[in-house]
Amino acid sequence: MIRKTRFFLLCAILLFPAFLAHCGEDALSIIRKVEEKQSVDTSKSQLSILVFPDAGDEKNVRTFTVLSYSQGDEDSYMEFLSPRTIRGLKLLSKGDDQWVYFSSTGRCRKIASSSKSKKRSVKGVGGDFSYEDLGGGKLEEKYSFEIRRDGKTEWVLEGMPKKEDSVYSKIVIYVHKSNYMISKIEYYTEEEGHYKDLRTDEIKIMGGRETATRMSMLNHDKGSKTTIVIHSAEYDTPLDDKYFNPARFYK
Amino acid sequence: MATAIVILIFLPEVIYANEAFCLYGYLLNYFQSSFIYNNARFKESTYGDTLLLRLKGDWSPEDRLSFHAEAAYYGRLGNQNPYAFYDNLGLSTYTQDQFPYNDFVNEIVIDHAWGLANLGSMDLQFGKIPIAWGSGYVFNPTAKTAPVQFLDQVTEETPGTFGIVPSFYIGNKLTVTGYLAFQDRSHKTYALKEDGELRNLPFGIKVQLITGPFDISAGIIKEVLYTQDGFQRSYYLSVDLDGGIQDLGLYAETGVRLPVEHSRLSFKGYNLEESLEIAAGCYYTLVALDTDLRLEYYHQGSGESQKSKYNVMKVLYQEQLMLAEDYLFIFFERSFTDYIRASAGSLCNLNDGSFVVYPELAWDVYSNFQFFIGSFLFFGGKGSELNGEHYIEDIGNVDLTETFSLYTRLKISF
Repeated sequence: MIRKTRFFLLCAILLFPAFLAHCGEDALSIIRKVEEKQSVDTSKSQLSILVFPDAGDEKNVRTFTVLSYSQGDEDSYMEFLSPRTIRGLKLLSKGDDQWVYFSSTGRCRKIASSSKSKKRSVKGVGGDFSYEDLGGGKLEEKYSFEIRRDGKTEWVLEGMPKKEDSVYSKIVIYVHKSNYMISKIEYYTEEEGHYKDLRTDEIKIMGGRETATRMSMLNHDKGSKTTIVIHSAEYDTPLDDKYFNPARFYK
Repeated sequence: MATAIVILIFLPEVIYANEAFCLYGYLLNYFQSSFIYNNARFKESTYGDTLLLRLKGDWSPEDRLSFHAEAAYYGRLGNQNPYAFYDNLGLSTYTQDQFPYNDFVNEIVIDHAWGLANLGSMDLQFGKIPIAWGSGYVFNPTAKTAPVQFLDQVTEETPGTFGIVPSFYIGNKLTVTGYLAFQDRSHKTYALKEDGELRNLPFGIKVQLITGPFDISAGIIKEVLYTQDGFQRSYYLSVDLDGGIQDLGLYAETGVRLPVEHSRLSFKGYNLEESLEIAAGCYYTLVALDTDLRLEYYHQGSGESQKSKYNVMKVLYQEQLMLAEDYLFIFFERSFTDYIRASAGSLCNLNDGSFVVYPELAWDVYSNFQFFIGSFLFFGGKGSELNGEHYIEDIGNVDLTETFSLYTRLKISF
């Protein structure tokens, strides 16, 4: 009898590892695992941003090519390689602080760290990714999460902002149970309601890690869409500190 | 010079396959129609065109070394030609036909050509460098190395200055940077024996602290300017703030001329108020309207508060940026779609009440093709700065600005 019980217990452990792993997980631990999975000391990637002013018209598109470096959770650096009109435009984010370098004038400016203006898309680029979306910071530090739905294959988590001046009034995150990858994020604002959706269209192994290589932001307010395609990515490779120094990143 | 540009264009193409090199730039055509309107009649109209081809090259032969060059071709015709402009006003001291081998229409320059070596916690930059100090958008009291291209409609690039720029980084918060320039601020195109004197080498040094909501920098600048009276040397204390509080972006930049004569402190004839130059501004975004607003105040202590004392030659010789003491710049820009923007700016002379308004519509037709259409409208009473008519000794009254102008700008980037 004891042997049988042990046998069934062993089967349960072997056959339902996912069940055991997820059983009783709370929203915070899910978000931590999601971020842990994505967490890297450094990353270096080259990506394209495809801006579709009309989400339904795939032919009307403008493409931007960007070199992106990040370090830890807070620091990120972006350099625009194309189109040539804005080649050399560089953005540095360190937590809530952001700097922009304009290569034509040779001036670097600090951007007022305002929540509302962070809702705007990057100047000169347009599209549906805002300064806030491209900036750094941990989700768990910005939002308080709770599980809205515990489905068969995914969790649906609802995040309410911890700060009063948050750009978004609510976010809803869809997380795959099998790999802790985000499949969708819904963004809500006080003014527009359901404002945007970020969708993961493709996941590939890149730089030895599962990477969302194609993501689309659908703006319900404007009817536009912006897709990010990651062409190459390296993780945990040494990066020069200069890219994260506000007085040096543009040199 | 032309050979150098050919080398700049073609040599790196050969190397391209092995090393990170990029050649890019833009072609810009600026066409302006100017009108003088007087007594309810169009008195005169003039037309002119500037064609600008700007080639830029970035080359990084190895990780810690980079090279950048920018060459420009200008073709200036009609009212866009500065020689014709000065001839027309009677300000030229020679006639162009005295120099039959000189080209007064076409110009080719290598504006920027600099190398940058990253030496650990230090950067060393040298060559012909755009030294763009200051956080002001329109006025930069701490930019003392190059002629000011005030509200330039053709190019926004900061002119390159021959010099060396070392920068030392102490962590991510503190930077000490400076420059030693090898030419005076006028960037004159003729060489004098005095150019080689130590006292005629401009320099600047500043400490920048990045902390809290503002980036703060303070330093000392030596400005050297060749004027109608020879070389002028001035020392300035510079302070710059750039940052913001909540949604409001704030910046301030000041250059205070120090009481230094012949490298020694001298308070004789020194007036602090006249020595103060300050630009301070703010910007704010009305997110709901997708509109940016900007205000900038400028005080020029050396300017005149009464229009009867204006001396326009000081501006023409770049001894002063403007004629009066106090100015207000107002600007707003609204995006209608991601690619169409309307803007309007105004510069007001707060001392004599004259002002200029310039509305503009910008359309990014394609990713690399932009079209702009706009206008300048000048307003002001007789004798005011932006009315346009000024008295010049030995010449009499001259009209420096039109009543209004219309322009188009076409720009293809490649």
